[in-house]
Amino acid sequence: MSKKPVKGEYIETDTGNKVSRRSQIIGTTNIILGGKTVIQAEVIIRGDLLRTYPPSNPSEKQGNPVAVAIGRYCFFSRGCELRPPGKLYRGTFSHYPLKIADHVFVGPGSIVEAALIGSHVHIGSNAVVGKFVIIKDFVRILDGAVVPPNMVIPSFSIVAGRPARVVGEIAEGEIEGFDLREVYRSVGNA
Amino acid sequence: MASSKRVSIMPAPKPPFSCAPNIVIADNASLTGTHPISVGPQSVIHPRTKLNSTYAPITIGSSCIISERSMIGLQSAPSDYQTKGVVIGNGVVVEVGAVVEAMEIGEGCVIEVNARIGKGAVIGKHCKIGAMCEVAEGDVIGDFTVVYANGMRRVDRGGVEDLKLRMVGRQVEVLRKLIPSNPAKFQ
Amino acid sequence: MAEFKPYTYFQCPCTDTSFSTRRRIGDSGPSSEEETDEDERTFDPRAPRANYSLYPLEHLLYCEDCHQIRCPRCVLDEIVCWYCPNCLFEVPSSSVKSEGNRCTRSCFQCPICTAPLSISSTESPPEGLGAEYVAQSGPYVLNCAYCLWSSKEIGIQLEKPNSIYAQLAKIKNGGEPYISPKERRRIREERKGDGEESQGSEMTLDPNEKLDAESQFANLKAFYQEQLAESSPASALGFTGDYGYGSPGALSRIMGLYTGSSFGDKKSKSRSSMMREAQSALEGLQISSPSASEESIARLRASGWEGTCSTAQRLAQAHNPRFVSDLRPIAHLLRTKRSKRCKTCRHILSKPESKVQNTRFRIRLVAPNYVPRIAIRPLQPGPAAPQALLLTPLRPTQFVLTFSNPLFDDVRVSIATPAKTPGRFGSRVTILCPQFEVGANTDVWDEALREGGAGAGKGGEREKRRTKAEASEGQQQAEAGKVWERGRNWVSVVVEVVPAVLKVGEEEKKDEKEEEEEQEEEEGGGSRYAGPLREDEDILEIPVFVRVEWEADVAQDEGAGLAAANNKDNKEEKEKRELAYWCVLGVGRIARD
Repeated sequence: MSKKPVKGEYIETDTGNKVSRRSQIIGTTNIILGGKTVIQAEVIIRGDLLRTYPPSNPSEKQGNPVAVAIGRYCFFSRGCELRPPGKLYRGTFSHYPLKIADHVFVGPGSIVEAALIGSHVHIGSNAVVGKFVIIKDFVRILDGAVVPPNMVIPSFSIVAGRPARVVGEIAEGEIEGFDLREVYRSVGNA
Repeated sequence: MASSKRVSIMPAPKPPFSCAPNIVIADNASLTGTHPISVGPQSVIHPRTKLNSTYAPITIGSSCIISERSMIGLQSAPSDYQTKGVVIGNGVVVEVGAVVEAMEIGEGCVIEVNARIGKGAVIGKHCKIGAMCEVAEGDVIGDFTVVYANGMRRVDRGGVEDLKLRMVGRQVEVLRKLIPSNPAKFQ
Repeated sequence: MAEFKPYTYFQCPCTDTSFSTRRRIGDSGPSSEEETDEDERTFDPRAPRANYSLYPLEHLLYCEDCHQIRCPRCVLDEIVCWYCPNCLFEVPSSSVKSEGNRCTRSCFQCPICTAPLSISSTESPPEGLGAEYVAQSGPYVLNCAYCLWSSKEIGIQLEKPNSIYAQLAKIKNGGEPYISPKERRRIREERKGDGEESQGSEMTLDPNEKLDAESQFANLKAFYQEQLAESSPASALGFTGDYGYGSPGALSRIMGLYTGSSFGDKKSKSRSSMMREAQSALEGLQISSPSASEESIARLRASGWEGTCSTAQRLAQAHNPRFVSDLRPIAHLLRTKRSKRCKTCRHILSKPESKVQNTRFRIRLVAPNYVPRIAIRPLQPGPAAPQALLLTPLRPTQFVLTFSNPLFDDVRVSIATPAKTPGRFGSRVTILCPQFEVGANTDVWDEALREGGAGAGKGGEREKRRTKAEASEGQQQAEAGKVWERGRNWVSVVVEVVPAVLKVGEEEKKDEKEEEEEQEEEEGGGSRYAGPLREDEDILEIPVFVRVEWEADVAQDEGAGLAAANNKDNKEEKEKRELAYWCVLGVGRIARD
């Protein structure tokens, strides 16, 4: 692909990430992007909220510390925020990394403080995903849902409400709809 | 980052800002208005927090955590009874995107993500206003009240408020290490 | 108002059969609501029943043996496994039967707000250097991070941070020990064994104890089982089952009923007179106290409205509590993985991997892989504002329907719609091209290769097409009988609608009358066609009958083994296939005056 000489909305990285110039990413060195991920304007990613609690196994100590890890083909809509969750554990407060797998869509204005988000997850607009939530693969979180802290959402769930609960199941035929490759291609500096 | 440029657009007249020397205030927090803003010792202001003293002063107590995108201060002209502006007690946590126009927020309160607290509201001590909840203008909420779901309320008799205050203290200590502070910029 | 998104719902043909059976029944009666002719029948998406048969394409399955669409109503669900949605551990079916449909580990929901509960120590965490290496100590409580409810509020503290289910089963609200029915049985048996000696042991059962419903039932059951066993001598041989229907004793009793009185009847009769009733709490007898209601009234006075629980909170509990202080943490309900079978031919349509965490499917025959998808968009590039997307009454508006073919064979599609949409406000509908062919789907690989060659990819290709269409749009409107646009495996056709006027007033009377005549046969129709505009009645929904025909390779088919065996000689031949169904296109809202 040819690089656009003029300044467009998006900066495209070597691995194909499209990051808006108007995004508000803090602590870039602690954020891993898997590639082909879109970050729209006014998205906040708090890479600065690092884990301060010493990791349990020393092998994790090597390499750069990671606050937010994101897989491939993720889409972060305008004004959403990714924030590593924090808690008090054995008398020490620490943030813990926020891990996001592939094909995860986060709608505009949503705030995510989860611990883990699986692949093929769709989070609607203006939703709040509480601290240390674990979302498995193929989950749809509807607009305006407030997922309470520590909730585990199993695969193929549709979740909504305040506090959020499972309100339905993803049908077998809906699985292809979670693929974000087409959406990724449609975004650009055109 | 493009963000450093953005800050320079901040309106020229800085609001009178007074703070204890050991606060943490991120470089790209935004302080606007003409009335005084004061922040107590040990408090943390995250990046991209908006403190707006255009209509009334803002007073923030000690060991508070004010998170990004939250908007503190009156967003429109005050009603007659709220001349002393927004007063936030000690050990209060304001989470992401919350809008606080309250007259007073008691000690140890937690204002969660995207909650809104209307003008003139008074929140008692150790309350929790849940994510996306709203407190109407002029509402008075007693101590230990939890506002959750679609405005449901209950009184928390857990009796662990000391523990919680201590946790906020710990959190402040950690954030102090993580967020580069630049109070000089706002003075 | 929320933005309107065009939608397509497919009707599962399984409702058709139910319809015809109903009609058959109706034929015999005087009130036959039959339609004039099978072919004339149109589908009314607003009929009360239609709601139950319309699905988005993604929710439908497809049976390759019946060659038919299958909806949730015409498949059979079979449970593959049970698992807890919180800890994601699989629960074997045997323990589901014995322990019930709840997680028996440590997964609990808040009784106030249903958020998950987490366990934490009530002790303040250790401080100072090396504090993180000190193990936390109890007592522990369950906390809700959402509404801040804590099990302290119902007086429950736990000793260990794990196996909470087992711990909770032994504690009453308030912290007193609770003797579970199982435990009771054990003690009872012990006592029976040791006679009076065990009275001294620490777990004594109080004969005047107040029991909860569950323990009372267990006690009553145990008592009467014992009585029955004693009274019926034959049953002493083997009184195994709960109700004893299978026991020889019961059998002899039943035989006695039929044969007169030969089978040891005298004996059992004389013995059964010795059966006595329960006499103490140990035997399940509870004397209702007259002050019970007074007590709860007093409690109500003391705790007030805040202290009572809501209906939802009450329904989530097994023991139907009145007060917040009686609520108990709710163990998570288990969830299932299910496979689906065709009700008609019993073939499996969908089968997930049996491992809980595995999201793959072994078999997944979903309708989008067999049935052409229909996409709707307005022909005129509409203004961006959603309010402007409202359809103007009486102004002809054109929509493009795009049919994309998922099959690897060319298909011939015929579509038909009633000239006027059913319902109170009939909009006129014309499909400009009711018959067309759609090319075969190709492999994903072919597509990818082609895209790679095209440089800018699919977007560019589409762009080209669109410009062509736009250019032609300038000169000529969509032509009748001609396809609007065509791609590799998709075809667009134009449908023109003249939205109706949404008026319930005088002017519409003539039209309405006309309609009423049409609907006369339908019983109770009159009342449906009067009154003010109902919710979503302003949405223009077009019923469309779609018939898809194609020729499939018999051998290439999925059920190749079977099919090939049946017609070995005509292996080369192609098989004619046909699929026909109703769809509903929701194209937009009609503007109100």
